[in-house]
Amino acid sequence: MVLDMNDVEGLRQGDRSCFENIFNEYSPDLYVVAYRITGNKSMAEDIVQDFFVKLWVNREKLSIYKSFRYYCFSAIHYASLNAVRTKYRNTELSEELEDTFSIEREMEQAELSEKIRSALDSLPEKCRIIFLEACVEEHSYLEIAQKYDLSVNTVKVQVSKAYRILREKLTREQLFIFFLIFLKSE
Amino acid sequence: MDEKRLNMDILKEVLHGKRPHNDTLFLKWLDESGEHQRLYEEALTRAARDLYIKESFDRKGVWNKVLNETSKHDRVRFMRRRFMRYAAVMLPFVAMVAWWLLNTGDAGQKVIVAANEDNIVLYLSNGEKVNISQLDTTGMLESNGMKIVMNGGRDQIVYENQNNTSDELIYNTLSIPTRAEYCLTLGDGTKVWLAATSKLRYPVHFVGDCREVYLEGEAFFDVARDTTKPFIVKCDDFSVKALGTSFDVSCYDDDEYALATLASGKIEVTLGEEKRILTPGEQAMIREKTLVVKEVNILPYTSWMEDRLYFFNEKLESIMKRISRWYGMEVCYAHPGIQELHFTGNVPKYTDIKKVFDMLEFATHLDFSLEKGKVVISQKKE
Repeated sequence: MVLDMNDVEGLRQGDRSCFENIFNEYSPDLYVVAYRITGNKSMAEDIVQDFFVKLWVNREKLSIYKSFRYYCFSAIHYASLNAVRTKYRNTELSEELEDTFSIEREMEQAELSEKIRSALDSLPEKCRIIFLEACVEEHSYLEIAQKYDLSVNTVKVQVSKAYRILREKLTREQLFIFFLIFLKSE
Repeated sequence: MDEKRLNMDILKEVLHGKRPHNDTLFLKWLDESGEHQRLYEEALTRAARDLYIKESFDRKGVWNKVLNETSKHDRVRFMRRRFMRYAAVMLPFVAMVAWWLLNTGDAGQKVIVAANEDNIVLYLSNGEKVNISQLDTTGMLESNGMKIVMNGGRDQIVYENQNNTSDELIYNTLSIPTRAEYCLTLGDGTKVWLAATSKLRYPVHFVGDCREVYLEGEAFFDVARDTTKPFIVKCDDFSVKALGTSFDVSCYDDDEYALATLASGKIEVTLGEEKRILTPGEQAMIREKTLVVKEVNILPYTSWMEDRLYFFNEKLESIMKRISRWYGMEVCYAHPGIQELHFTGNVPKYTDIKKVFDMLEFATHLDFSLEKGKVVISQKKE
């Protein structure tokens, strides 16, 4: 994360530009967490909005005991759970959500999703579209085959091609990161 | 079981960047089963799906709402802070006004209830001590033939010139205790208001080319005009000369300084060789053999004989001296420095001292605790 503690310190002192930096840096990931729990775009956006308003209002009383990132993720995690509880009173929440460790999993997941971004962009266009439709939007291979006038087998091949390329790209990106770390430690 | 956990750990390490995606151990793990392949692909899909979700986030819209909400909050907070700042600045004034307002209720209550006028003593020229409550309209004769009568029910001592009055210069002394004051009309018609714990020695009948009186304490003089005979108030080490004018002289021996304050006309203050002429609104301060003249608010010095004691940006020490001279008690300060605080306001004279302190406590940050004729002043505890 490019965010440094200066922004958090600036936030404490009421610097609005620091606050905006923090918002830009964290809000998309936090939105994803809220969306994953609530499964609802407007609920997730409300939760994120509410969190940042409270963050600003209580900036002077901010107490962080793990890390600022953990603070944000756990706040969103619990706010989302509460929102879901309020909305679907009689629904049992899955054990995974109730688990505090899932906050750390969410944080790791957010990192991974950023890493995969450029890898996804590097997929050949046809491959990427099929991968997204099949895996992200969860359309069946048959649907996709019919939509693009392809055989089901071609779709399967494209999807596995996408996974292979993603793995390769992720490897390269990781090496690049290792390289950076190596340079830094020199 | 252990093996399975180890296997899952490899996936985690890869996913979270602790092991490269082409790590030989990991590749071997992937090839082990279709299930492993599926778990890895699922993780990638999940990450990709997160990105997809992220795309749906209206970051700008949410930011604008956050901006809107927080600046609304900031405005409220700013207003509240500004109000508090104003309140902090205004507090002394508000307290002052409150003090003033609270005290105007019982004005005009000069029902000498509490006044100690029965204990005012007149010393005759022969040293005889007469309690003025013994004087009446029939009066008594002084050795020079002047008749001392009490006018209008103990209100005023008046010296009546008799036909056989001699020109002998004889003196009377009027002594005022605490919680009392007295308005005396001298032989020339000059009115003198004597403050509590004061003494005035004056000729029963003015003889010669000047009118001299001797003061200890405080008195306000409204001098009858006689340009041929200057009126001179003599204090311990200085004197105030006037022709026809009104002024206040305060020269208590337990004060650090003496004051002569001019209300109208003109006075000349003399300290040793030094002479200074004052114009109305000016005050001469005599302190350690030096004389300083400055402009002041004269209200506290010209109206103490009315129902209230007025203070204008005055040191607590001198405020308390005046209050204690009137109400008669000892004053102690719990912490040094308290007596240096300055206050403005007024206190009623004809009420219970406890009420006065209640008012002062209300209007200041001080605590007044009264016990057996002694008041201890301390800072209020938070």
